[in-house]
Amino acid sequence: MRNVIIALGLSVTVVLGPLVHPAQASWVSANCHGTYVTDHYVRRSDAQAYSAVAAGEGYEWGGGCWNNNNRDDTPGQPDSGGEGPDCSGFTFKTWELRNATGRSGFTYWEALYSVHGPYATYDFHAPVGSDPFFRLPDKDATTTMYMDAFAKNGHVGMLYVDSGAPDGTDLIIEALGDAAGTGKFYESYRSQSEYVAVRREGWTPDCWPNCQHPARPVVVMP
Amino acid sequence: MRAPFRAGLGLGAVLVLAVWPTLRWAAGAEGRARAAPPRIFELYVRSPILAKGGERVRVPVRVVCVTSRGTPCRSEVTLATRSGPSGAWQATRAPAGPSLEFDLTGPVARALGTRSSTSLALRVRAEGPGGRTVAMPSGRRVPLRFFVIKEMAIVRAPSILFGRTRGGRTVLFLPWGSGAVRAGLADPPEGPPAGPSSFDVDRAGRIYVVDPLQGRVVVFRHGKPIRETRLPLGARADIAVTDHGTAFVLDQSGDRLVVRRITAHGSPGAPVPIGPGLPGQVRTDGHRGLVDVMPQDEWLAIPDERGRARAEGPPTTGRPMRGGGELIRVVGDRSLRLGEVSGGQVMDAIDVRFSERIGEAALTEPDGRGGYWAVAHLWRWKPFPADQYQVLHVAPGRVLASFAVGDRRFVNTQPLARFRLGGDGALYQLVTSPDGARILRFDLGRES
Repeated sequence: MRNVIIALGLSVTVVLGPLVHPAQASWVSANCHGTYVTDHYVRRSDAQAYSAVAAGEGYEWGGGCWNNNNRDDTPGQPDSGGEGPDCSGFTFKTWELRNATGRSGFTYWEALYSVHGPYATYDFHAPVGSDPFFRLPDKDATTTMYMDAFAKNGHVGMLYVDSGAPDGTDLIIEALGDAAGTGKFYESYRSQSEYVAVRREGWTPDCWPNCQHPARPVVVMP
Repeated sequence: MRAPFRAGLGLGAVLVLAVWPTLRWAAGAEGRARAAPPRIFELYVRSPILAKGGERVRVPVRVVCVTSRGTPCRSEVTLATRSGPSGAWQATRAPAGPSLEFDLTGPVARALGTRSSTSLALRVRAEGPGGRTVAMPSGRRVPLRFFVIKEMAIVRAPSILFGRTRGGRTVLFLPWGSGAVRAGLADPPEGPPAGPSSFDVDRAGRIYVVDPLQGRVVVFRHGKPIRETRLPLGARADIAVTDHGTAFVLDQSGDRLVVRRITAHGSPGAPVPIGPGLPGQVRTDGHRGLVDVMPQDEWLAIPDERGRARAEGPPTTGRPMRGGGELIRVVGDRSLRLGEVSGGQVMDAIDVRFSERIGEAALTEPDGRGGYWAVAHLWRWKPFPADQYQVLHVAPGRVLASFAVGDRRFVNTQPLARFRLGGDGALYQLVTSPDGARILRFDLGRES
């Protein structure tokens, strides 16, 4: 019996072997073996940390897998199962959204788990009532908070820090494109009329689990 | 008595054994958290740049601290300020938080006293797990500096209805595509299109276009390419040209900045390291190349290719100007403050007030006569979203010229690379549409 199995295996290898070209093994199929887990307490700071580690990775349309080694492992190879998220996939994983439209709650996705999620930029730009994110009433600096997103039909990026820059731009973390990759860029999305501000529902307060001793927001120097 | 004692001892032992792994894990985790330095430790400080006496002065400080496991970590921030070059440093320490701000109203009021203008030095330092620190400015460099002025001329920018824009004259059109008279385009389905990343115009009206997707910087004269320099370019490379035709191209390599010099004959030089940071913008004072390094918003003279700065001097808060002095600018919700720093004093400060919100100050340039040219991105949310740019020529006490230009943007050109005041004195705008990229020219001599 054992010899039969070996012979069968060899036959399959000989027959199918030439059909499997090494170039067809994409970066994603070779590297993306991560996992995911349901999460319950997710703060904006958790999302910021997750996105910060992804800065420097590549960009892949429809992608959602990267290895956090601070470089694009598949440069100049667009749409080939390469490394990196696209803008909506990056927001999906950073916000720990669930992989089904309309589902609330959080799922932690390892960087090396390949998932894009069900939301495209159109969805972030025009959320519906069942989405776990919603459009903010305005884009004022007093309204938006870090890890909120600016979205238009065609792109979405997240506000990395909310203090703004003296020249009036914001530091955005985003999957920008094949050439720029994923990273932090100063942008003017706040003042571009086609962008709206979007907020993820259900963040755990940043003070958790020490909310009885919250940090002082304003420190007055005498 | 003995039996209960033994039973109690046994129960205690069982409890200790049961709880021990948890205690050990907790102690270990705490110890590791103390010992292991963070994987990412970043500091973001927004300097007031130019404050007015009597107003509240707050400095937002944000720290991004990420452990090797990719989780956030705690840190502490120390902010120190000093009035004058020999005053004592006054420091305050606080835990970093998502909305931490230091209120410097008191020190600012004391520093200003009865003077008309003063400056304060600023150092900010964050300390994280494992003794890891990050400071702004880093190392032993001169501190950040911001300026306070007792009185500031307020001018109100004329209100221009959205849509009442002036059209410029197209001086260069590059259809999308490959080739000498085309511009490279990348248009991903989920992501903003990318195209020419920056441009500049020299004294002879020649237009320098950075075309990263074709790996080149091209010089055009009267709409025709006259010179092309091939070099590797990042998607957000920025460019500035001196009076003598030397171009400086600012680019990013990982978390560090580099500049490439292109001679007036088109020969590219070796990359010159600028140091860690995010790219703000590259400009010149006519002769030297200057880089605005973010997030500290400091200006550095570009070193030569052997690593020596051509001009001695520390980083500056303002942008060094032709003939001396520094240009400072800071954007508020509906205001743009401009001033010139000379001899440590602020001169010709102006607070331009707008009826609409401002996004970025897309261009700020001195006019050489105590006034400024500025282009502000105005936006509103209601009754319907709209945005456009307002071009202003202002002097202390009055607006000399003002008009609006449209915001035609197909590719995601970086915010500070859309306008240039050309060496020939005209204003230029890079606009993009689905058919290609255009450089528009606005003559500035006939507005009022």
